[in-house]
Amino acid sequence: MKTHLAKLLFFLLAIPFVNSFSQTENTDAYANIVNPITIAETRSLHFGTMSVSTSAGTCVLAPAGTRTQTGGVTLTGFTPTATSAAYTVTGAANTAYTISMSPATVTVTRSGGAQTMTISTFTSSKAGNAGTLSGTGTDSFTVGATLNVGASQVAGLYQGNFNVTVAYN
Amino acid sequence: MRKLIFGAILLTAFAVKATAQTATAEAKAEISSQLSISLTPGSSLNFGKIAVSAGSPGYCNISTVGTVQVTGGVNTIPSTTSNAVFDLTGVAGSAYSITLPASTTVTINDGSGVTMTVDNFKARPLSKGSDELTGTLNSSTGTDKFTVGGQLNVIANQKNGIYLGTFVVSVAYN
Repeated sequence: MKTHLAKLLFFLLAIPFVNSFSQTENTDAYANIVNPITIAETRSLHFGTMSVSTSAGTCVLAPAGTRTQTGGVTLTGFTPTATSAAYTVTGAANTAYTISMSPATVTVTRSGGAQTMTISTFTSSKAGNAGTLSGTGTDSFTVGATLNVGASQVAGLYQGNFNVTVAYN
Repeated sequence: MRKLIFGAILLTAFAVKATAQTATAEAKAEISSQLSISLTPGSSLNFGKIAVSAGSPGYCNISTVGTVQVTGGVNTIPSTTSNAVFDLTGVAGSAYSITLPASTTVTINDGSGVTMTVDNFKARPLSKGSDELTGTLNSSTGTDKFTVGGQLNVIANQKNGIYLGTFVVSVAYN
């Protein structure tokens, strides 16, 4: 009986020690904290000015900002002048990211009217829409697109919206 | 131990949330009114009646303000002469450029196929008041006009008759 009591006492005393042993055990918990990727527009997309004949045509605005005309479109040099859209990206240093533009076809509507044109074939200055953030976690790129102008398109300013998304690979 | 693991899961979830961001951008384009050109009704480049001497060729020149000058064996005969006049409409206040032909051929109307050439075309935009290949559309009306003159090349013994031809001028925004 005495022995049993001594054993029980030993176990009771030992429990806290066991507990304290498990507390000092090394347990690693990993969490890979990534700087959030952010995008900011520094210049908006503007196809500039152009006129169109009775034939439909296009104005192709390259990411570099140069324009080319096709069909009945004649580029004019009035203000405002054409600019490709420009963006800055910030995030984790030396990390790859992808760029996507949506929707595939954007409708622009004449200011003060109901006439529309469409914008399609968005292209970025990054080959394959793939970029890599610098050692300081920054990067920048430009975006161009193709404006589809209808035959005898009514003169005026046309506006619309599109989305540019950046995401880690 | 459980607390530590739970914390790690939370942090990972937060990191996943921040891996993409979208910016909404505006796209704009401006369609300018078409620059249109038309011949003022009834106007034409008309060198009038001229006579040429048997042995010597010459020229008949009409300036952009309608002054007729002849050289060589060419002599004027009193008659009506005129400049071609073109009317332009487009974006008010905008500059434009004119393209004139280097030369054109006028052909006798008797079916014999004899020709003369007209060259040295000149244009005088109303907005410039001098011979220029550029002009500016009126800042309020968006219109301008220009007169065209040129030079007829006549050979010695040029066949007698009425000679007709056409020439093409074009304009574009600068």
